[in-house]
Amino acid sequence: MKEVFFIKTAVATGLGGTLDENWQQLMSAKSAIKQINYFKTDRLDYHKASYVDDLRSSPNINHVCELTKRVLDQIGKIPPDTQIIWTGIKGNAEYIESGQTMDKPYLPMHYREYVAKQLGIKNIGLEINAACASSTVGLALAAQKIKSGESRSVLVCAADLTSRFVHCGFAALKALSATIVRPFDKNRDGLALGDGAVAILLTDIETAERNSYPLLGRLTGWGIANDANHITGPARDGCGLILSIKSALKMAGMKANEIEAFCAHGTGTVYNDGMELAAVETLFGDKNLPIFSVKGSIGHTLGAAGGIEATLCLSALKEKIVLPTPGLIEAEDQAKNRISNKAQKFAGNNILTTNSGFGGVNAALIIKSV
Amino acid sequence: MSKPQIINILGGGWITASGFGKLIEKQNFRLNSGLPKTPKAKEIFSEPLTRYGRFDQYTKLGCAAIALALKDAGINETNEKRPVGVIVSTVYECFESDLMFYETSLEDDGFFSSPNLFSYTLPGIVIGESAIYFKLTGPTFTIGDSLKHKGLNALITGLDLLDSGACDTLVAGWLDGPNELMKNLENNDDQQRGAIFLVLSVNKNSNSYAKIYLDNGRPYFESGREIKSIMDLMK
Repeated sequence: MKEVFFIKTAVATGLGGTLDENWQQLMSAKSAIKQINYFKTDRLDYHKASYVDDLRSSPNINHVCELTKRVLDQIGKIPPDTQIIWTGIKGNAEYIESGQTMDKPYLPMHYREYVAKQLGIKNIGLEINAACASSTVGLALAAQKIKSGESRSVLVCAADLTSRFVHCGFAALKALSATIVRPFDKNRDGLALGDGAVAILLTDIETAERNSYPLLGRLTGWGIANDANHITGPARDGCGLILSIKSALKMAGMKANEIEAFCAHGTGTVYNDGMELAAVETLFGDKNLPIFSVKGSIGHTLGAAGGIEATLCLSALKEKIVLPTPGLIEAEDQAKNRISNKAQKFAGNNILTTNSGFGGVNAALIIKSV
Repeated sequence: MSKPQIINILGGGWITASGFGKLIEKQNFRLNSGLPKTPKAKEIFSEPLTRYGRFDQYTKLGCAAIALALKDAGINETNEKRPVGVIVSTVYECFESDLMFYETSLEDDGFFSSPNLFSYTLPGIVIGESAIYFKLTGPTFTIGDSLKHKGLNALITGLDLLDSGACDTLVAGWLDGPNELMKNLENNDDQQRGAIFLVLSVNKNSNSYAKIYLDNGRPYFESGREIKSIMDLMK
């Protein structure tokens, strides 16, 4: 079985157009969540999101493609035998909002074709939808393809936007914050959506060496599990998340106490964060595992979230720093001594990152420094 | 090179415009153009599925076909959660439900957006509903496919996951529901709508219909013949 390496990454969010910009802003616990100015929210109880300021200046283009293009331009040349996995989940919202007058892309398969065309890749690959865990599952399947020898190189790519469609939906579910997004805070009251795009190239070692690619990290374990609880709410005991983390640990040949930091899904909703803390308690006991969430800063970027967070984990491993959790004021009891609104130093080599989504899906990745 | 792992097909279920059935009744299987008539809950589910009436058509169709597949495999009834996965191949996903939700969001600047309809605007909700009813806790997600190769990507990915040890048993197949509200259908759309699901397992049971395997990313019958569509398994 082959080892799987992170080779190239690119992100764009409301906080910045590059990984460096995002990292610097996140280190200062800055937030891109602000008043929405491109559709009316007067009749809703929720008015804020994170969005890319200059993205919507041209009204008649596909803004999902535009944001995708911005990360693909940063990725640059990749091996021609690379397979594409598209993990954006609501790329059809702009098409629907246009009254179905836009040209392609709108179906997910159109988006992977778009990515392949932009990069000059013949293997148009496939698309995965696992709700808000989509790029996490995409990375897991990409890694499986490389590990088994089926593929040498896979690009996982996603973009999702704070569309009116999605904002109205989350507002109807009363899942949005009417105040400040503050994951793992005692007074948290919901999430904010965010524009986000990510592209991550994974390869085997032979491909990396042949192309003289520097290794950014190694994906050592992954797991996917359903909690079989409710379509829009997680099992309170975190049973699905626990199963996915246990699978990832088993694959990585690790014990729970060898995990040295945890990049949580941390949406800021009462139930998600409570579920994650229950899982942490079960798996890690009283270990002072550093935890962080970036969604109080960049918002919830849906299908792109897991990929963006995996990329930030690579930077955390490189810089030996666990990012602050913006918005946090008073941590939940189970999160005390684990989470902070300031950056924390850590000396570890293994980070766990997880995401959970509607439909009960949970996915976990373990990333090791190289 | 290690020898590919043989995977057993323990059962299957289908719903098309020509009716519905289990793999054991595959002599009745036909995939015609047109919309399938979704079965009533009492025709499919042994225990009451109280939420069935709230499901959108895509979810009803998928959930019912998954139920038929599990029943055919003899593993539908359980009181305990079990590590069975579900992978759904689809082209149009839940586009019809997206459009229906969007309609509710237009009135009064979003004030009347329907939370119930929004819940069904992700293609994996059908898996979530099935997972809840059948207590399935394995890997679950949807995967894109082409109109021509209905279910093939789910089959390939399912075999890959079974080979990796992610779970021992999973349900994989194809689901495309009605999309009469959608204006731009694909040029090569054959207008065939329905659901076909198979239960794949590393374990044998008395129901095993066929043995298949994955080699270098392609699925094959035990005889060595390549599987080019999930329809090949219905013949």
